[in-house]
Order: sequence, then C-alpha cells, then structure tokens
Amino acid sequence: MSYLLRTLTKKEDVDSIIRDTIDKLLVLRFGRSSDSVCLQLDDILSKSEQDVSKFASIALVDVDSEENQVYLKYFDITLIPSTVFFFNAHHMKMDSGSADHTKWVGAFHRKQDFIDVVEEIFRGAMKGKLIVKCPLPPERIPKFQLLFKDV
Amino acid sequence: MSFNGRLTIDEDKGSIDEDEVTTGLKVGIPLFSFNRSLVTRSAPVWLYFLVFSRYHFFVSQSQFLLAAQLGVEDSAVFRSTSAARWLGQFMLTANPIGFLNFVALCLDAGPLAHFLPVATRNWPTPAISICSQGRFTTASLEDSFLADLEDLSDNDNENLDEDTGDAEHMEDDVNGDLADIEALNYDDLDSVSKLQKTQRYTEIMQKVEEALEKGSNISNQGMVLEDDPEYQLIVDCNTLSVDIENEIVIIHNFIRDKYRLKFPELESLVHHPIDYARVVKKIGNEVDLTLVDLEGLLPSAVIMVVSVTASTTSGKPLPQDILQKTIEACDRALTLDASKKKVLDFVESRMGYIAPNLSAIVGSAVAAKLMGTAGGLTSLAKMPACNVQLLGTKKKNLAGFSTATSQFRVGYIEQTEIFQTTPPALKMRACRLVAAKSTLAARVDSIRGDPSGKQGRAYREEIHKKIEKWQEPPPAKQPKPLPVPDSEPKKKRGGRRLRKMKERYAITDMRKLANRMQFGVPEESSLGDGLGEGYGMLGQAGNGKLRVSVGQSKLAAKVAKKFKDKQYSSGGATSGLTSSLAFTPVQGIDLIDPQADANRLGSGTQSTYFSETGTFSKIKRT
Repeated sequence: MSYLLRTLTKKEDVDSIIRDTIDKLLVLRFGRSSDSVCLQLDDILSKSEQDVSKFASIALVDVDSEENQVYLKYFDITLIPSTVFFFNAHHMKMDSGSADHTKWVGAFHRKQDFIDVVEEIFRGAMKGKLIVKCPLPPERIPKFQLLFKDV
Repeated sequence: MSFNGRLTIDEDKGSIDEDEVTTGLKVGIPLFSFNRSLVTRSAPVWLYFLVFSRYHFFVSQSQFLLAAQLGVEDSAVFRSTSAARWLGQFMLTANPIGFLNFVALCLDAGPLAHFLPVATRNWPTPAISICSQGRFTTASLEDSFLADLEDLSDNDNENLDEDTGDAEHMEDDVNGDLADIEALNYDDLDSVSKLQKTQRYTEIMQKVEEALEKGSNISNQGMVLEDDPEYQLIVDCNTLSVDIENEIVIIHNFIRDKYRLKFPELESLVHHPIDYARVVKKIGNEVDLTLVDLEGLLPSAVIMVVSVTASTTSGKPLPQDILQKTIEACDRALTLDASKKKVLDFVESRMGYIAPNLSAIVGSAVAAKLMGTAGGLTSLAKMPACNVQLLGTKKKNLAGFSTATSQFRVGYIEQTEIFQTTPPALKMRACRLVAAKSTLAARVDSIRGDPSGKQGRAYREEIHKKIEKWQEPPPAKQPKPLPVPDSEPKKKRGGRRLRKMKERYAITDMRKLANRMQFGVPEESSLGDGLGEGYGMLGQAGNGKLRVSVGQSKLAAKVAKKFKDKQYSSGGATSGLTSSLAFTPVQGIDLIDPQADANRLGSGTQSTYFSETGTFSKIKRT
C-alpha cells in the first residue's frame, strides 16, 4: 500500500512536509513496508485518504533510512508502526488511555476509527488545544507495553 | 309528481290493522273516484296527502303511491314519468309483503271489490294471481317487479343505441322507433352497407385509379397548388378512407352475426375485421378444419387455436342462402379494403409534394391520415399541437371493461416510426414532442415555406436527438470527501414547535422563587433548620400569592386569550342590546381580568421585591 501514499526517505522531505502543511492535520506514519501490522495500518490509511483529504494529509516515513533516525530518536519511536500527528507544525498529542500520549502505536481496527481520531484531533487543534481525548472505546485501542530503559 | 325524498320504510311489518285500512280507504277511494273524471297526475298526490298521515307508520310512501295508481286509467302516462322509475326502485326496498298484504285486504274488503278489474288490469299477471290468493313469498314478488322494471329500462337502452347508430349508418336508417329494433337483425347486406353503391365512392375511385395509372408524371412539377383539382381529390380521398373504415366495421358486424351460428368462437380468436372476413371465406361451410388451409392468412399459433376450437365448436353448418350472403359480405369487405389501400397509396404518393415537411417527420401515410381527419392542410395547420396529438384516437371503451389498461390518448401519431421505436417509458413524452414538431411542419407546409422538406428533416433530427438524450444514464456519483469538521455552523431552528419543546425544560416560576431569598429572612428548608434543600421565597409571606401554582406559560396565555375572545364575541345572531357581562346579584358588576394570573409574576426577571402591587410585609394574626 505504500505506493498509494507518499513515502518519505529523506530528512528534508520530512521537514518540508511538516512545515508546509498549513491548516491541515498531518498524519505521519513511521514504519516499514514489510511489516504486517504496518501493512494493515497502511491499508486503512490509503482507503481513508480521499475521505479526509479536506482536513488532513497523510504521509509515510520509512524507519529504515538513516536520515530518519533523528526523528526516531526525537519522537522515541520503538514500536512499529507509530503515527504522529502535526497541525501547523505543532505536535498534537492524544490521550488514548495508554502510557504514551505523543503518538499512536499500532494499527486501527476500522477505517471509521481512524477517521474519528483524525476528526477529534482536528477539532481540538482548531480550538487551540494541543492534547485531545481519544473518542474510541478502549477495546478498539491497540494495547502495548512501554518498557522503560534502565528503570 | 314531485315529492320530497322522505320515506319511511318499516322492516318488520307483516300484520296490519284491518280496521284502519278499510276506514281509510272508505274515506279515500270514494273521494278519488269522484275525481276520476278529472284524473290528472296530481290526483294521486291529493289522495296520498289525505291518507298518508294515517298510514305512514306501516306503509311507505311508494307503496301508497302505487295503491293510488289503482284508479289511474292511463297507466302508460304514469309509467313514463320519472316517478315510475323511482317507484320501481323503492318497491324492492320497501316492504313488498306488507304492501301486497294491504292490497289483498283492500281487494277482500267489500266496498273495494269492484275496483279489482280496474286495479289489476295493468299489473303483471303473476302479481295478480298472487294477490288474489292472498299468499306470497318475497322471491317471486321481487322477480315480478324486477321483470316489470327491466321492461322499462330495456326500452330506454335500445333507444340510446339507435341514436348513436345513426351516426355510423349511412343515409336512411332506422330512427329509434321501438318497433324497428328488430330490423337490426337485417337479412340483407345492402340495407346496412351502402357505401359501394354511392355516387361519390365510384367517382372518387375512378379518379384515383386514373391518377395512379398516370404515375408520377405530375409529381415532377413540384408543389401541388391548392386550387389544383388533384388537391381536391386528395382531400376527398381522405374523407373517403375514413368512411371506408367505418363501412368495414359495419360489414364485419354483419358477417360476425351471420357466422355466429356456424362458428361462434371465431370472433374472439380473430379480431381484425379483414382477417376475419378472409378466414370466413376460406372456411365457408366446412365442418372439418383439417381440410381447410389457413396458411398465410393467420399466424400459425392462431391457426392452431382456431382448428382446435373448431373441433369442439357448438356451431352448426349454415343454410345455403345465409352462407351465400355471408360470402358476399366477405367479398365486399375485401374489395373495400383493397380500395382503401389504393386510396391511401395514392394519397401517400402525392403527400411528398403537398406537405413535404410534415411527411418528413411522421411519414406519408400518417400525414395523409392526419390531413384527412383534420379536413385539409390549412385546418391542420390551425390546430394547436395538443389537438393534433389526439387526431384519430379510437374511443372504444366498451361499457363494463376496465379503463385501467387503456392506452393513453394517442391518435395517428401512434403509427409513426418514431413513436414505435421509443421505449415505452418515454412514449408519452415522445408523442407530445412529435405532435408539436409536426404541427410546426404543417404550418410551414400550409404557407409553402419550404418546398424541399429540409425543415421537416431538421425537425426529425431534433426529435431523434432529444429522445437519445432522455435515454442517457445519469452521470455517475463521485465519492465526495468528508466535510471539514465544525466548518458548517449548525442550523438553528426556531418557531412555535421549538419554543414549546424548550418550554418543557424552562425554569419554572416555582424554581425561580426557590432560587431567591429575601433579605434578612431565613428560608425554609426541606429537612428543617437549614438542612436539606432550601425553599427560598417559596411559600413566604411576601409573595403576591398565597400559593404558587403552575404558572401559565406565555404560549398558553396567548391561546387562552384567543379562546376567551371567541367566547365573548357572540356569533352575530344576537341583537345589539345584549351584553356579555354577568351581573351577580350580590356584587353588581364584577369585571375579571383574565390575564391577571399570568401577568402577576411577570417574566420572572421582574423583581417582586419592590413590587407595587401591594404585597403585605406583615400579616397580623388575630
């Protein structure tokens, strides 16, 4: 599915896309195109790209390229896939009941779930909030374990 | 005789008080016989009114009228009035047993016995015998009355048929005389079908044949002028073809009636008159249909059905003379058909030069028919398009057949190629379109505006294009992206309904009072002593009311006001001196302001703290 969405390998591309998406929510997926969960997530992303095109844009960031390691370090991405949301170059956080609010880890169960999340974040962003609450019920949120290093 | 429709029908009466009957009749009949010499239609009226009051409780109006008829000499006059019809209907619904009981008693009663011959002279014989026996059952009575009734109505129906038949038949047909109904079972073909013998027919056929032989020599000249004798011939041909068609129908009926003895089912199997004539001629008097070869006359499925039905038919071979007549009629029908074809061919061949534009759109045959029915090109041009659409409609709504399946009103336009090739869903629209364009073309032709027919072809193209466009599928639906969230403001609704809905959740006056407190006065609470929910100003002495009840909402107040206005304003039938005020004996005039309750506490935002409508700050208990 990665051929349907924009895949970014270079750091400048990522920078430019974060800077240049104005008044639209930017969805960046960090992952590999060979991973099965990534593929699931990519499938949903590509199907809903047209539907949310008026208020969101989607891009994929390849985790394996060297230039993008900076971002992996910055966003602390360890589990694949992870999705980070930006609005006007602000990083949007979402409280989905898990330990990490800065990103969304894992795939979505349904296309509608993804659209709901995107809409919620967009609404919050339009109101000026930097963190929003997740509209999904807990059973639809993929669970993961956060391992703290050296703790 | 005109009565009001008031009728008293008694369901259960079988027994009658004999004395009353006889007394009444003793009074009535002698008076009536006195008047007999001056019998007019009003006489029974008079009698009726005399005795009706006595008898209305057991005998109905109609029954009594009939009894009154006993003395009327001229029953034909009585019968022919509409009252008889009305009467006949009521005789069945009214109590026939009671009535005839009554009559029997009259007949038995002494003073009336001599009326019997006069009375029963005009009655149907079963009724008389029944009456004299004094015993009757409902069924036979009703049958006899029904028979009587049918006699009346049948005569009328036949009269009607005769009148419409005149329009179809040629010159000297039967004139709606009752006796001539039998003449409709004619034996002689010539008494019905006269067209071939007329002068007009032979003349026109001659001319047509000449013209057809001449071929297309004349046509090379171009448009035919209206003064041209050939144009007149064409107009005559049009009318003649219509007449021929009618004539064929008449002959078909004749053949059918004759052949019914031999093969009654054939008429329902083969509908078309010419096909029927051909088949009849072929079969002749043959009983075994396997010897008859119907190939080419009918489709094979129909041939099979016909031969099967023929093997089980109930018909018998015809006598020779009737057979002869039938075959003659068939021949005549076929010749008429052939001549009609000739006439139509001739008109068609010339149609391209008379009305090229019109024939470019609808085709020459239909154009010829339209012109013929309209009565010329100029009259066709003057018609509005809606009329052109209906030229040539067949109004064949046989009574008793449902009109639910009848095709919409289309005339000759139905036979055009354009109409036949449109899908059924679009037929109505196509018909209207064709009629409109052909009217325009006819108008162009009537002033010789376009002799080459170019305009007609252009119209035809236009019609085709439009029909194509109608049949296009609608454009495919594009999947739309979702709208930006919260970008469209929510549509707020207003209005009475919403206000009423909101009222249910609005803060009531009670709650408003409870929310406030008076200065310096501790409020009461539900659990007492400051515990529990506080009551605020509710129930305290400083209020305008002793008890707070459910306040009237504003809307309810408006409604109440309207209602009270209606109450106070009288209907207009009262005089100007009446007053709507009520004077109570103790107090005198007491004017109550109905709005007092609603306005007392006002909108709630108005504070009652500084209210001027006297609120007591202290109530002294004595």
